[in-house]
Amino acid sequence: MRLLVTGSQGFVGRHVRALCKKRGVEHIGVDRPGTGAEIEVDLASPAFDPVAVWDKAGKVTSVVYMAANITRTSSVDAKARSNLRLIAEAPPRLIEEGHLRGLCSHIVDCSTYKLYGPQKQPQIVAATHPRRPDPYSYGSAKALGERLLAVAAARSGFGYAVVHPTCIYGPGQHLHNAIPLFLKAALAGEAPVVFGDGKSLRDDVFAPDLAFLLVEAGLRNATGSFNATGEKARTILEVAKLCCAAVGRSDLEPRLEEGKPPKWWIDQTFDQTASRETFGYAPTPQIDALATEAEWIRAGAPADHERFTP
Amino acid sequence: MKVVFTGASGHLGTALRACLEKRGHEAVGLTSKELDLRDDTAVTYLGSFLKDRPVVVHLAAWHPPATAATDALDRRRLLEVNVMGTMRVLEACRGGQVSAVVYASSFEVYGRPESSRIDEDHPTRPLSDYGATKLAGEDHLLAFSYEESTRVVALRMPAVYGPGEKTPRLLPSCLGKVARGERPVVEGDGGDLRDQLYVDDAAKAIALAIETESATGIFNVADGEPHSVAEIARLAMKVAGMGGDPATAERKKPRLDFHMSIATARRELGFVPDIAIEEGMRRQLASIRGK
Repeated sequence: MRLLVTGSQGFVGRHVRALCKKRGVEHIGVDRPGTGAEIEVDLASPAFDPVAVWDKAGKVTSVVYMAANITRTSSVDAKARSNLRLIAEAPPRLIEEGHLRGLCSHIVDCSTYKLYGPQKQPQIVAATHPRRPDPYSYGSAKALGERLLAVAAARSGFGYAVVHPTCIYGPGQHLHNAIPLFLKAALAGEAPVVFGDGKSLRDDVFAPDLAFLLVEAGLRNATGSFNATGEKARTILEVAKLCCAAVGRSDLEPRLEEGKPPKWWIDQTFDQTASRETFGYAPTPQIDALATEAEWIRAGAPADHERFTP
Repeated sequence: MKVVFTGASGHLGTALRACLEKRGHEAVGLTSKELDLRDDTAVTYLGSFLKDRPVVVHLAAWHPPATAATDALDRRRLLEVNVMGTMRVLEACRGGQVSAVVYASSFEVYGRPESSRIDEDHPTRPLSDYGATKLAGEDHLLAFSYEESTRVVALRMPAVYGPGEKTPRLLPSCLGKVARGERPVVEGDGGDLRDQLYVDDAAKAIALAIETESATGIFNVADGEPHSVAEIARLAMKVAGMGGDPATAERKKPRLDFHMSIATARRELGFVPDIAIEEGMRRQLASIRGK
């Protein structure tokens, strides 16, 4: 069993590598030049040549495609266009070439919950929910990537699975996101600050759990759409309280700052039936996951975060 | 009103210019020769036409000869022109430069029909690279609208017919046959439904989207009538003055009925098609014979 892992040196990529190593699954990393991946290539470049990747990679069981940038500026500028090449154009090009050469006939696309788009009211979103991307280019590019894979798979005959992670947390994540901010505050003995009324629902997924789904989908050559979610949906206030409990500071009471509203559309939770029934997906209890992340933060948030994979 | 539009030398672009001028608008059309959507210079070039906060109409796109049979090279061109080209147009429109953007989308964004009358809430699961890229254009249009607080309208249209049409598909193929004195061929019972839209009606729908300042979002636009393949073949013979029936052949593809509801466009844009299909086909045949 061998996996070709794009975005291998990134946040989730390192968790995928750690899991592969633990399970004895051979893996070949693909990432940007200078990242130290086994195959260094710019997948976002107009000059990207999938032939060169397969020349180096050889035969693999599946491609786990995670390479992406999260753009937070315009949906239509040059950065967004570059990201579109990376997210939407490169995956079908890569797998078509591998399939044509008999080196690989399966790809796992690490997509996003953002392509379900804003929900009119809180609801449980199934993996088959219609796609209507949220108003940022990331969801639009991921939605296009899925659609192009579907068309290319029907034409060429390769198999593919799509995994939709919700907000991803865990060792290695950006420290400016809500969960590490809550943990840092609690570790410092301060009350975490929650923007808004604290009632916004979250269904965050722990990075090692996402890595499990991606690797399983690849090794089994699974087909279909799968949500990668957390243990259960919690309000942002409950998550903040859990962060305090995870570092042994249940005495701290998170402080609401209602003047600063949270992001406007996170209020949803996701159905994980398909993931559970197909792969036996059982997300890590969130308090354990938060404790693992707290340990990483306490250690100074080192770059080699994969050693904090449980 | 000043209207800047791309795809000016195309079939619909030509009709749009005439329609806009007739309705008293200032029409500034940009052809693919002057505005290369595959290059980032398109952003500044288009930007130089956006004085006085015009409405921008984005028609330019690449339509492969057969959308159901594209390959990886076609996909590359579709991405470059239809998706990144649309992103470049929208980038030029950032910063409050325009009062609205109208985008010519396609019925191909829907994919396999799941109802007998497709409305705008029908799932979008395109079956072709072309449909996927047109849908991505919509997605980026809506993202642009949110980020820039600018009114946008996407019009999902079937293949547009009328004098000057160059796309190789059913209706012009039938007219081409009868113009040569041949009978059109209908596969199977010919009951498969296809929407049609006369080019001047397509231009009118765009003009209404420009003029209706309350209009925003996605609208189906067609002539509103379900047309079977057999009906189109029979009408081709009728407008050509030919007797008898179309030739028949064995069905090669499974039956697929495609018919969009235009109720939202009727209600919110006040769109009422002017040209019935028989009259439209008569005009297109006259144009073919005139050449």
